[in-house]
This record gives sequence, structure tokens and C-alpha cells, in this order.
Amino acid sequence: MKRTVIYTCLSTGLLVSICFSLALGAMRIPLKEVIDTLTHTVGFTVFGGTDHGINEGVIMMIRLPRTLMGVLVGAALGISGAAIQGIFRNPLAEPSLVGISAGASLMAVLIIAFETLLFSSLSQVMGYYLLAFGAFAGAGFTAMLVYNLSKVNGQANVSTMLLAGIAINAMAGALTGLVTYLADEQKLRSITFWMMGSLGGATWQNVSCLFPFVLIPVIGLPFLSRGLNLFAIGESQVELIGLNPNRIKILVVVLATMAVGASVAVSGIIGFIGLLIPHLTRLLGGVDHRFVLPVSALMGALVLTLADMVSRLIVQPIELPIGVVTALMGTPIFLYILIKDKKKLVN
Amino acid sequence: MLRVESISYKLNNRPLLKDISFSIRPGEMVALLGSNGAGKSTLMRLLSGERKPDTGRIMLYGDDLAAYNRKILATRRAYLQQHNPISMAFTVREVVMMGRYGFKSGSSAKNDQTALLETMELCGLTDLADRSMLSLSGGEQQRVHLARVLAQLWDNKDAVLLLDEPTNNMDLQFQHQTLAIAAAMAKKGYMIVVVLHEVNLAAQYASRIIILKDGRKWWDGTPVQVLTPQHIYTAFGIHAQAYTDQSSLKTVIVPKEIKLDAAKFNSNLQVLHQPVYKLKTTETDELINLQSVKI
Repeated sequence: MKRTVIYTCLSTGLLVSICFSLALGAMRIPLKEVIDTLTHTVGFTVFGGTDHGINEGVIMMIRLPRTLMGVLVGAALGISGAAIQGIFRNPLAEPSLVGISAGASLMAVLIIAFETLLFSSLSQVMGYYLLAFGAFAGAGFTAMLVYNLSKVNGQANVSTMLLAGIAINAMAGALTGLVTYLADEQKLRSITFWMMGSLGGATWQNVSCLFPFVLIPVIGLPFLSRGLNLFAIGESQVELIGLNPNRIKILVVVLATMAVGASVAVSGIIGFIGLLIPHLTRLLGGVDHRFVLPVSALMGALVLTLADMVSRLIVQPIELPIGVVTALMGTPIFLYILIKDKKKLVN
Repeated sequence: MLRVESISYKLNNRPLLKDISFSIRPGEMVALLGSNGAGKSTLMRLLSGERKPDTGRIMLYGDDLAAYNRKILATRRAYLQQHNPISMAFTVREVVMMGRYGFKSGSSAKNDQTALLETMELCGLTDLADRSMLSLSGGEQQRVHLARVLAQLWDNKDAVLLLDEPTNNMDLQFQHQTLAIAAAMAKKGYMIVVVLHEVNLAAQYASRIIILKDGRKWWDGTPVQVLTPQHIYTAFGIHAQAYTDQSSLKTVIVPKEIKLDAAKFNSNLQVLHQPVYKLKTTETDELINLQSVKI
């Protein structure tokens, strides 16, 4: 009952914020026209008038792909954050904190820098998918690395995990810095964009590329939620109760890093969403992953849409990188968790 | 029927279990006793199928444990481990329900609900059902995990229940309640193996006692046969007297008190009695005097 209310509120909130996100910006468009344009595109009319000229262009060509990218990236970061925290058995395991995002962005930067040298034939064929797959591979590799590094006597250890994350972030940062020295002016600009995180690069092309990479994990991960619940009482318990721990682990890591990798490929590193969203979700309705996973996806989409609106509106007409906004929102909450659970977190 | 056929197990080249054989019939409740490091928990781990023996094999209802299908094994064996750390704020109800996760297909939702409610009632958890695990005391958490493993086997009495120190952190009432539950389930046909430290609990509830020492099986028999002062001295290194309780005819073990003089094993305390320090009134001396006052 309570959970139905949460689902309803979040879905409604998401729809409303999408409409506002389409309406607000450097050029204000009345909500009525936004709804009109959307319904017209789908194939029926609500308010009658259909010809909104330039406004329709702004919505369809600029704002809609950007908003959709926000929704997809938010859902991806929210659900993968929740899943990774489940596997690591720890509420602090967040993709950007433990180095998974850094691994993804390093691969993305490498691909941009050496695209013309090494992958030119490949990138012509695969286009944006090359970047997404590269980031996915980087994310998957670092996730497995951190997971194996952090295991002490078969249990994931918090301090080792965070230290491994620091090491990987530093390493990836150094390598990315090295690559920027080798890159030319134009590549430098796209690399800087990766470091800050932004939805500014949204086009229909990369949104459609991102779509399957987010859809598959959002549908697939909830099927693993029983297994993730069992991980909370110990990896050995999964086997004793009749489920396959290795299969769950591999599927979760593959699906979660797939979502993180593709998000990083299109929008750079957007920190703290993966930490913040699952935590808020657990505060709302408990820690059962059958609830946490889908709701984290919904809430991630909602929060990132709102954060993107803030980043566009707060210092108009300039826009803030969205990574700055999410870090400003996320850091206080991160500190709050630290203070509240200080004792619990140190095994 | 559980048959252990001369199993041995090494970890990092250190032999932990050596050539152990025994078999358990349905309806038996076996208590596993032994000093720290005797190999009790290792044996439990092998019986659960979590680890495989290096030599020998374990047969459960005629099939080798190592060859069991994971799902089928989960309906025939439940294992309460010694330590059950939990990292997230699951509620009591959710954790007990985890015992039923193996039954996605086959067992109806009604059976799951019955198992959930009955095991929670039995372990005194009904009032705690919606509390977070992180807010419970150690003994209460242990009861939740007990309810979870009971729920796992609630539908099938052709099963073995492995309890590794189930009474850890529990109060007196629930130590007895836990073993009474195990004994009652044994009467219905379950096989129970329980690791205990308290010999009197074993004497009261188990139908059979196995004592391990240095990774070997030393004694195996009824409580009256096994729990003698000599055996207890050999296994645990403590003198004890054994009585027979006249009303229940069960063995009662009374260990002899160990007496120690702190001055004999704490040389830091001995220093205080040396007169050399008494003559000086230095700062360190005052410090030492202060400490002795505290003690």
C-alpha cells in the first residue's frame, strides 16, 4: 500500500518535471504548447493548436533529447548504484566513489584521443556505440578489480574497497591527464566535458544509442533482487538457500556497469546520484531490493531531471555542469550518512 | 540418512579433520562437542556442502553431497552459521522470509506465509516482526537467523538441520527453547547436528554426543556413555564431576572451579610489592600507587 503510493507519487513527479524541463530554459515555452507538441508528435491533439513554429523545434530538437538523456542517465545511475551497493554489501559503494566511473571515463578518453590513430575504421562502423562499449568495458574491468581487491577472507571489506577506489580514481585521473597532454585542442574540449559531467551533448543519435544500455539493466536487475537480498546476510548464504552466488554476482556487475559505462560515455561522470538515490529510497520504503531497485531507477530519473533544470536555470544564460549540481546536493547527504552510521560502517 | 565416510580436510596444508566416519539416522539429534579449534565448525561446513572433503565423501539420502543440485540440496539441508553479520537494515520478517527464497517455484505462497508466521512465533519474534535487524541485540538477531533456517526446512522432514553454536548470545530461556525446538523436530524425523559449548545442554537435549579432539572423532554415543569425567578431562582439560539427575535420569556435569592467583600470572602487579619503590617518592611511584588504588 505504502509502496504503491511511492510508485504513484514518483511517476507523477517524473512526468511533471519532464514537462517543466521542456518548458523552462533560456527561452520560455508555455506548458500548454509543450503538452500540445508532445501529444501532436504521438499522434493526437489535446489543445487544438498544432503549429508552434520555432518552439516546436526547440522542444523536439534540443530539449526533448536532453531531458530524455537526463531521465535515462538518472535511471541508470540510480539503479546501478543500488545494485552495486547490494553486491558490495555496503551503502557507500557508489560507482564514482569506488572508481567504476573513473574506469569508464578513462576508456572513453582513450578512445577519443586515439580514435583517429587506432580505431578509425572501427569507429566509422560503430559510431557512438564504440564509446559506449569502451566505457562499459572500462567500468566492468574496474568493478571486478575493486571487488576482488576489497575481499578479505571472502567478505568484501569496506576500508579496502574505499582505498582501492581512491587508488583507481587517482590512477585513472593521472592517465586521463597524460592523455590530455597528447590530445589536440578540439579533443581537449571533449575530454574536459567528460571530467565535469554534462547533459549538454544530448542529440537524438546518442540518446537512441544510450536507450538499450539503460533499458536492459532497468528490466534485468530487478530479477536479481532476491539474490541481492541474500548477499546482505553473506555471500555463503546465497548458495545455502539454493541460488547461484557467482551467477548473481556476474550478472549484477555486467548489468550495472553496462548502465554506468553507457551513461559515462554520453554524459561524463555525474557523481553522487548512485549514492544519494538508493539511500533516499531505503529511507522511504525499506531495504528490500525488490523495492529499492525499481524505485531507485524512478527516483534517479526524477532527481537528475530536476538537477538538470537547476543547472540550466540558476545562472542563466550560462549553464552549470550538472556534475557540480549533483555534487552540491550529494556531498551533504554523503556526510550525513557518514556521521549517522560511523560505527556501523567500520565493520 | 546422513553418512560420513572417512572424510579428511586440510586448509593451507594444515590438517583440520582426519578420517572421520559416522552416520545419522532420521530422528537423531547429535551434539558435537570439543574444545576450541577441535574441528567442529569445519565439520559443519563440510556437512553443509559449503566445502568439499579432500578424501572420503558425505552421503545424504543415498546421494553424494558434492553431486547434489543446489536447489534440491537447499530443501534437504539448512545450516545456521556461527556468525551472521548483516549490513543493511532488513526487517525481521524480511530476513526470515529469505529462508524461503529457494522455493520460487513448487512451494505455494501459502506455505511460505505459514512457515514465516509459525517460525517467528516459535522463536519469539512475532512482536519484533517489523523491527530493523540493526536495532536488535545479538541474541535476538541469532533467533531471527534460527527462524530463517527453520523456515527453509518447514515443508520437508527428510532433511538435516545443522546448527553451529545456535545458543550464542541467547538468554537462558531461549538457549533451552532453541534446543527444545531442535529436539522436537528430531522427534518428527529431522536429523539434527548441533555444535554446543555447554555440555549440560547437550546432555539434556541430544540423543547422541560426538566429541572431537584435534580433528578426530574421539567418542560417539549416548550422553550417559560419552559424558564421563575422564572423557571431559581429555577433551577439554578440566576436571569435572558427573551426576545422574534422579528425576530425569539425565547426566549432569559439574566442572570443578579453577583457582588462580593474579599475582602469579601478572608480573606487572608483582612490581608493586617490591620495597625498592616504596623508598622513593618519585612521580612514577605516585603513578604506580594511583594505579594500584584503581585496581
